[in-house]
Amino acid sequence: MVEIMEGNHALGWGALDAGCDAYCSYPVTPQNEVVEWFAREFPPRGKIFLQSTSEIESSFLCMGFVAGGARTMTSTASPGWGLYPEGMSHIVAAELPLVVALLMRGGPGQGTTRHSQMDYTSATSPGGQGGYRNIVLAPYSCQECYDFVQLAFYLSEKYRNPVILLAEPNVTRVLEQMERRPLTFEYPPDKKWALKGKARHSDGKSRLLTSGYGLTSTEEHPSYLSYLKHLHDKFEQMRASEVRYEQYEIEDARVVLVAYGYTARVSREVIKQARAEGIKAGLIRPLTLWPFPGEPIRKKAEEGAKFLVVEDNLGEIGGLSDDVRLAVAGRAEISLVTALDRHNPGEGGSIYPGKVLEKLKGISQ
Amino acid sequence: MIKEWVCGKPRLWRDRPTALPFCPGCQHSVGVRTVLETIEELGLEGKTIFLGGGGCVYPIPTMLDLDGMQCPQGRASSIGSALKRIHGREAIIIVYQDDNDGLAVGTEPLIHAALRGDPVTVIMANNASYGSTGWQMAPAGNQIIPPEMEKPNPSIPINIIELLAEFEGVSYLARGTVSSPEDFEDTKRYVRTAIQKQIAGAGFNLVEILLACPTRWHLTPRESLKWIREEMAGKLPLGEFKGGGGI
Repeated sequence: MVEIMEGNHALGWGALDAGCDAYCSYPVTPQNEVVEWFAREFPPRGKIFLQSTSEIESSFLCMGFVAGGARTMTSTASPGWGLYPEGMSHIVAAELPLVVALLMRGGPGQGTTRHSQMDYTSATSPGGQGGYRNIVLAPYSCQECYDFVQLAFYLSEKYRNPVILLAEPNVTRVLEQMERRPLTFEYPPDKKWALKGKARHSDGKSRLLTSGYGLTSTEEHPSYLSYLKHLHDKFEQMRASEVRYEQYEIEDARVVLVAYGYTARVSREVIKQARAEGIKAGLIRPLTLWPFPGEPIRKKAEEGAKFLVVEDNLGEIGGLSDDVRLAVAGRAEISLVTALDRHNPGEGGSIYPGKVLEKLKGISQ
Repeated sequence: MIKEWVCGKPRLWRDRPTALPFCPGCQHSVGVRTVLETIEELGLEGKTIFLGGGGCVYPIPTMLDLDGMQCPQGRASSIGSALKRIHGREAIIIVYQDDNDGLAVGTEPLIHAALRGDPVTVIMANNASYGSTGWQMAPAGNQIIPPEMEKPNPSIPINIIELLAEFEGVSYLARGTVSSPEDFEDTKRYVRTAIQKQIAGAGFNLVEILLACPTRWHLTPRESLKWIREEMAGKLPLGEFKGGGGI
């Protein structure tokens, strides 16, 4: 059945349909609608909703939920995200699954309470201590919020690693059509590692979870180096198997726009307008920001295409443009549309198609 | 001649090829022993989850034949609260932290677990020092300081029991030592009451145990016990402070 709803609620329905058992979060704008959805919908279904006392506590309450084997989700917005990295690093180190919805607002610092795409780097790079990675999914519609959160649960359990959904309110607060259609995934079998008391394990043996494998030798990881090798191989497997992207009008494109989230929707509109004027433009939209789809970008660079990165971020100093630069490796010209190209100087400013089209025309001559 | 078994290693201590990873005179192993003996006596081995904190406590979960976790510094009570919500009465949650962990970085999760009345048992093993990182000042008692160091804040040591006593969700609070067999028995009785409160679903409970850290205190073990008795217990009195008198 097709319904009209906002992406924030689609995240909740997706989590419910993926079998999420527990949700924990601290209120922060602009993701309060997600917290409210879970507060309303989870307790009547016998599921756990817990409001934490800070985002640091959120991350460790989540670590406890997943350690006990519960399928768990949390959500936050940019200022709260600043408090998560410690927990994220421990959760990765202890090889536990978790789904995090990170809704971006303007930064740095307190920034704004409105949208931005400024947390690309802190989501795709290890924000916390030590070397690690999280899979990052970037939905750009209400339907994708619903679908991707289900995919996120599956991937997080497949790899026993957190998965982040990265979006902004221009995606999650827009009312759109959405079809609630639970997706089917082949989840790994029983969580034999989960803590529940040794009598409740089929083999009757006690379990130990730790985020300190360099300090603690176990049967599975007898040395720190064997543990690092295991993590390395796991991240390599994610990179080899989980890259997802979408291409639009790319076949004959001479200028390739690269964008995710709301700026990808703006870019599609721009491409329609540009093609009507005879400009051969196309879009590569990463669905996974990590692992990043560098290959299709490299291919277009080798064909001689130019690139226009459209991201509501400070493009010259990092973000999506860094990954595009790495993929292009000097083979092609890269131009940017950034937060400095917003239509309005206040916090409500957005990247509108007009500015993108203007830059596109400039570089396609 | 029939010999009576009077004392030994708790069954839940795993056999180890090496010595316990504690300094000479450290009382952590005795502090943990109050918990292990109680769990054995109550027959709770099969459902106990033992969450250890950071620092000197960190190796403890690896040494026990219990489901457990080596928790990040300060975060064990959050993790315990969450596990209790998942498993309810099917699991007994023991959080074992020392003061540099639970009463410094760990105050936020500790206070809010207590405010929420989460029925977990926290053992606050207070040895008035940071131990593994050196002779740094810990919030639960840094009265022993080198003369060249600045005098501590007068509000130190933190009295966590006074702080938590007013919270409605707190079911039981007690403080003991393990300085003598009699003290050990008293403290073990407190731990037993606390765990029984958890079994009854009565709410958050905490037992603080004052432990010696001769290495960091730069005292002999004998002087350390005297210091606990005369100085530490002077500021942090012993006994049951809330919910005593049985279940």
